[in-house]
Amino acid sequence: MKMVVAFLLVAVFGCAKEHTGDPIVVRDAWIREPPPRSPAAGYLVIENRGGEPVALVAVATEAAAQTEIHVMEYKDDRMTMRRVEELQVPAGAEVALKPGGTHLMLMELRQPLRDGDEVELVLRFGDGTERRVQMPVQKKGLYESE
Amino acid sequence: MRASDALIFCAVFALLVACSAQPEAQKASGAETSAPVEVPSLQDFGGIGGDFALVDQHGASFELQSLRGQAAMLFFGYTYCPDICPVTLSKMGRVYQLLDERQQELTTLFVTVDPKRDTQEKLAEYLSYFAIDAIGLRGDKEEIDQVVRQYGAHYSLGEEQASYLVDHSTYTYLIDQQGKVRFLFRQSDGPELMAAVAEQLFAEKEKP
Repeated sequence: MKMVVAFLLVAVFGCAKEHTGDPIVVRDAWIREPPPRSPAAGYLVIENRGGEPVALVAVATEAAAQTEIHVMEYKDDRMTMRRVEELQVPAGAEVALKPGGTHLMLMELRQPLRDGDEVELVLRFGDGTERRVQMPVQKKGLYESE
Repeated sequence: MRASDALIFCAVFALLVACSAQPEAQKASGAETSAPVEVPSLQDFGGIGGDFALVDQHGASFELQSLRGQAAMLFFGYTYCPDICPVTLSKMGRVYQLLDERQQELTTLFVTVDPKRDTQEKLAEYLSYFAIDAIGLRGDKEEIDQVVRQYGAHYSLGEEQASYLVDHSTYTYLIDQQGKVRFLFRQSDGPELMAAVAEQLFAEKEKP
């Protein structure tokens, strides 16, 4: 029995360690397969498990000459897509980049991106940290919003 | 197992569970995924719409008039658009699926507000990527502006650089078999709603 308790205690501490580590978690990352010679849109969720806000300030990839963060604003019936220099992720919150909303725009693609490919993106944050994210290219066909 | 051991076990187990609980994921806010409760009826948008003539992605001249007897979905966009336009085009794919045999009676018209970058070849290449048989339409700036005005739409080109973005209105216009605009879909309207509203046009056509 003491062994079991000991094991569980170790597991709990091991689990706790996960939370005192990197506050930024990136998940659900994917790139929509673009039509030929068109820019591609990238989506992901950035979770900030830390106590301080973080800001995504740059995104880069070998696959595209220019990668930007774009937000969508809807005013009446008009859509405005605007490049932003940074994306704030408040402490304890998450920001989801998804179709129809904020997204990464991969422009001047250096290679065609096809369903099944994987692209590595480097996310740079305001505090100087970097995250490398593997983003699968997916042909989200016949209308799926996510 | 003694009671005290069981208690320790439970306490540690509870800790483990609490520790591994995932933070509440943000719920998807898009209205795309919700089904409509009731189908809105067709309207009469007397002031907007009307016939026009442009050129399609194969170089053939196109007149809206040629679609008499057929319904159409028309929207404005550009191929350098990475998010909204592909989503709308793939949404139309789903609408056609929902319409089943009726899909022959509905034509998708994609009018580019960026004829400079959207050459005939680019339009053809772009549209062939999508599962639907959309007609891509372009013309010179004046011709496009005319159609944009007719349909009460807007667009504005970004700064002059190779990668400029274009702001544009995001309505999809449902045009009936007589060429009149009968419904304005918003970007957030889902394929179920669009198919259901389009069905009303087909039902209308069948009335004696």
